[in-house]
Amino acid sequence: MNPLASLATSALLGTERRPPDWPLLEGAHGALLGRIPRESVEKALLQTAGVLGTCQLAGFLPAKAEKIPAPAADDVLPEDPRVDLLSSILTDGPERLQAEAFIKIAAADRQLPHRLLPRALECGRRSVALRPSLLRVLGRRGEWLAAQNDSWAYAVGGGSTEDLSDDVWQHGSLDQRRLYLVALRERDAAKARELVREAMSTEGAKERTAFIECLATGLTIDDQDLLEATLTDKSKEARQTAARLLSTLPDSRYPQRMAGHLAPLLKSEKKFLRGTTITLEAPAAFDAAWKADLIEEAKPKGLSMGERAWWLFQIVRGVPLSWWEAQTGMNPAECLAWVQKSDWKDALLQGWAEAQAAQRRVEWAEAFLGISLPPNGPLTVFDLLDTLPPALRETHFLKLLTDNDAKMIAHSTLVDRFIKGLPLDAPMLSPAVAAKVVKLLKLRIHNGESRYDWQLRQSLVELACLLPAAAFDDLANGWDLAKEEVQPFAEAVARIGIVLDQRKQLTT
Amino acid sequence: MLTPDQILALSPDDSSAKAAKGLLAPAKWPLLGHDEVAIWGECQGSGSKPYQVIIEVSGPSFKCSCPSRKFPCKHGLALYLLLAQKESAFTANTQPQWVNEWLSARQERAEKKAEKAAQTEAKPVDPEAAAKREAKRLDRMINGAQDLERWMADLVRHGIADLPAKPVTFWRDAAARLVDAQASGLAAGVRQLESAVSSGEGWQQHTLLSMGRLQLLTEAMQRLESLPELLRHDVRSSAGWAMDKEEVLAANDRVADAWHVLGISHDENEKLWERRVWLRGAASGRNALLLDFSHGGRRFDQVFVPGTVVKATLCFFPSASPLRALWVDEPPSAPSSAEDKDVSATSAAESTWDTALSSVSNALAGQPWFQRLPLTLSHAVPVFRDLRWYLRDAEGREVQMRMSTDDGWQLGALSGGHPLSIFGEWLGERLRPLSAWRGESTQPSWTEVTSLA
Repeated sequence: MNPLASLATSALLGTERRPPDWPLLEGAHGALLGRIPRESVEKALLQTAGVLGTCQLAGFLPAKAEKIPAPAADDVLPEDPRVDLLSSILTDGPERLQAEAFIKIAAADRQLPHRLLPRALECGRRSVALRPSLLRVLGRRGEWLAAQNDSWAYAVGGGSTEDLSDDVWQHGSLDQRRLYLVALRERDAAKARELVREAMSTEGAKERTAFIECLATGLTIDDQDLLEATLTDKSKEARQTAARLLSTLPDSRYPQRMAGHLAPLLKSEKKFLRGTTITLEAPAAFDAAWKADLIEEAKPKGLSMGERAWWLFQIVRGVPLSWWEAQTGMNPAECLAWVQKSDWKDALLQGWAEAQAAQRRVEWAEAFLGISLPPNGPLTVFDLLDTLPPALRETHFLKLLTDNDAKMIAHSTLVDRFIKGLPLDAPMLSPAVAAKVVKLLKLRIHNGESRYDWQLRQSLVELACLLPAAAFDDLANGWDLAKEEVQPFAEAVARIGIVLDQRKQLTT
Repeated sequence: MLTPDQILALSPDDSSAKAAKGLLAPAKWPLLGHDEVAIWGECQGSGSKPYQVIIEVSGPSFKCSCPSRKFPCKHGLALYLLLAQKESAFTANTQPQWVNEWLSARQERAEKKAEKAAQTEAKPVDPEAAAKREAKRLDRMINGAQDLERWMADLVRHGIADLPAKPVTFWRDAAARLVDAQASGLAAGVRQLESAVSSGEGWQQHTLLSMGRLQLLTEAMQRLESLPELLRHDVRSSAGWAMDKEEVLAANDRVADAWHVLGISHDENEKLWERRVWLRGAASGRNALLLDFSHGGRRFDQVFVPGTVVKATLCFFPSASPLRALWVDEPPSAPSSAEDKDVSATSAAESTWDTALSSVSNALAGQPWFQRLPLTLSHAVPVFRDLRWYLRDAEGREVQMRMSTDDGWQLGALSGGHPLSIFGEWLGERLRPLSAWRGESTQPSWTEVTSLA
C-alpha cells in the first residue's frame, strides 16, 4: 500500500481511534521522515503527509495507456477559410442560413474548418433537417470526431461513407432503427423491404407500425405484397398504415378493389339537352366482404355523419384521386364544384381530403386551395401548400397573405408555417414574389397591425434566409424605427441586417 | 482590432453580450465613426438624447454616457462588434468634440497618476514605522497559521470521514478567519481542501496531501527567521503577503527580452478575477508569470494575445524558483506577432511527460508550494477516453486534462488524433491546457475559452 494511502486511513477514522502506521522508507526520503518528531501524533501525521505528498507531486510520472487511438485520415478537401463568418452563423444564425452555408461550402469543394466541427455537430444533433447538408461538409476529420461522441452518432457512417452499420438495426433504439431503415431504403429499397418483412413476424406492434411507415420512402409497386400481407396484421395501426400506403399506389390491387366497391354507386345519366349528369349514392347496405379491406361497419361514437356516409367515406379515402378524373371526365376543380351539389357532400369531401393527404396530388392541392376546406379535417392550407412545387407554393402563399384580411390566421403563422414547410435546401423565393411579400409585411408593421405579433419578429429573420439577393435591400432598409409601431421590431431589423450581410459574404 | 469572439470575451456577463447583439442595427446608431485611436458612436436609447459611446482602441477602454453599472456596457460592446461586422457603416472620421475631450482628459489623468507615482517613489519612507507595521502584520499572519494548524490537528484527531458532509459555511468560515489574519494564501489553501474533499474517488488521499502541504507552510511561517532569504520570500508570499512593487524592483532581478505570450488563464472567486499571463523569454529561455487582479468584472488595462511577442524588461519577484514578475516600465501598447520561427514559443518544449515533468520537479525542489507551473509539451495528442480528455505523449503516457467539454472537443477537432504543441498550467497531477500550436506555426490554433473556476 502506498504510504500516503495508509496514513489517509488513519486520518479518515481519526488518530484517536486508529493510530497511524508510520511508513518505513529507505534512503534520503526515509531519513527525512525519521527526523519528524512524534510527540503530537496529529502534527506528525500532517507533516509526514506533507513530505510524502510533496515528493509524490515532484516525482509524478503518468501511467502509459495501452490502447493507441487511431488518428483521423488526411483530409480530401481543403478547409473553408472563412472561420469567423461561419463561426457566427453556427453560433446564432437561423437554421436555414446554416444549411445555406453548408451547401455553399460543399459547392466550393471545401469542408468545414476543423475548429468549427464540434459546434456544427451540435447543431446537427439538435436538428435532423440540417443533417443532410451538414454531412456533406464534415470531411474525414468530422466523421472521425463524431465517432468519439455518442451524441454525434448520427454523423457516423452516414452521408459520405458507403457502409451503413447494421449494428444499429440489430441493437439500436427505435428512432435509430427508423433512421437506418429510411437511409437504407434510399440506397437499396429491396434490402430494406426484406428487413421489414423479417421484422413483421418478430417485432412488437409499435415497431411493426413504424417500420411499415418507413416504406413510404421510395414506395413502389414492388412493396405491394408485403403491404397486402400487412392488411391482416394484428395491430390496427399497422393495418391502417399499410392501407394508406397502398392507396397511394394506383396500380396496386387494394385501391383497385376500393374503386370496385365504389363503381356501382356512381351513376351517369344522359339527359335530353342537358348533357350528362353524374350522381353518386352512398351504399345502401354494408357488404361483409369489405371488412378484408379494412372498412368498418360500425361508425365511431360521436361522428356527425350517418352510417351510410361513414361507409362511403371509408371507401372514398382508399380510392386513387385519379380514378375520379377518369370516371367522371372532370378535372379536380370541377370535381370539387360538382360535390357541392351532392347529398353526400361531407363524406366525399372528407374522403377526398384524406386521400389527398396521403396521395399529395398537385392538381388536387391547387383545387382544394380554391375552396373553403372542411373545418377540423385532415387537411390544412399548410398541408396543401406543402404538396405544391416551390414555384406554385410561393404564389399561393402570397395569395393567402394578401387575402388574409379577415385575419383568420396571424401573418406570422402564415409566414412561419410556409417557411417551415419548405425544406432547408429549397430554392429562394422568386424576386417578384419576394418583393411583394416584403412590401406587404413592412406595410402592416408600419400600420401598427403587427405590433403585438411576437412571432413575426422571429419569422422575418427566417424570411431573410429565403430572399433572393435582389430583395435584400427591400428588407434591410426603409424601416422607420423612430415610429412607435415599428420599435418592437428594432431587434429583428438588426438581426435581418446581420443575416443578409452574412448571406452576401457567403456568396462572395 | 479584436475579433467578434475576443470582443464578446470582454463582456462582464452573458446578458450584456446578448443585449449588445440586439443593438447591432446601424439604424440604431445616428452617428458612427472611428480612426486609429478611437471608435465612437451615438446610440438611440429610450430617452430623447442618444447615448455617447467611446472606445479607446489601445487597451481597449470603454466610456458610455448611459447609466448602466455594467462595464463595459452593452453599448460599448455593440459599438465594437458593429465595427468588426460592418465597418462600412462607420462614416465619420473626424473626432467630435465630446470624443476629443474625453480622450484628452483621460490622457491628463494618466499623466497625473504617473506624476503622483513618481512623487511617492521619491518620498522618503519612515523606516522605523514601516518596520513596525510589517512586524505587526507578520504577527497576525503567524497567529492565523497557528489557528489553522490547531484546526487541522482537530480534524485529523477526530477523523475526516464526515468532511464531505460539511456545509459550505464550514469552509467559508475557516477561510474567512484566515483572510482576517491577512493570510489570503492560507485561506486559498482551505478552499483547496474543500475541493479536494469533493474530488470523488480517492478524496481522502487528496485531502490529506493538501493538508500536509498546508502544514509544512504553517510551520515554515512560524520559523521564518531561520529560513534562507529566498525561501523566506516564498513562504511569505505563499501565505498571502506578496512583495510590493518597490521591493521587487529593489531586489533587481531584471531581464530584458522579447517575451512570447504563451497562454492566458482567468479564474473568478467571489467576484475577484485573477488573470495569469504566462511568458517565455526568447533569449533568456526564462518563464515568467504576470499576475493581475480585478474586482467585479474581467477588466484589465493591458490586453495580451497568445502568440504575440512583447519586448520589455521584466523584474522577477525574489524566490528560490523565480517565476512571478512585473514590468519595470509601462508595458508597450502594441505587441508584435511572433514570426521568427527560431524563437517560436514552443521551440523549447519537451516531447515526453518524463522530461517535461523534470522541470516541475526542479521548481518544486526550490519551493514546494507552487499551485501551478507552466509546462509545454510538444508532440502531444489529446485523447478522449472514458468521457475524459487526456494528453498523450510520444511514449504513450497520458495525463488527464482539466478543461470544459466544449474546449475539449474543439482541441480534439483541431488535432484529429495528430500531435500538437500544448502549453498549459501544471496543477500537480493534471494539466489545464491554455493554448495549442499546430506544426511549425508561431500562432496558436487554439486557446482556452471557458475557465472551470
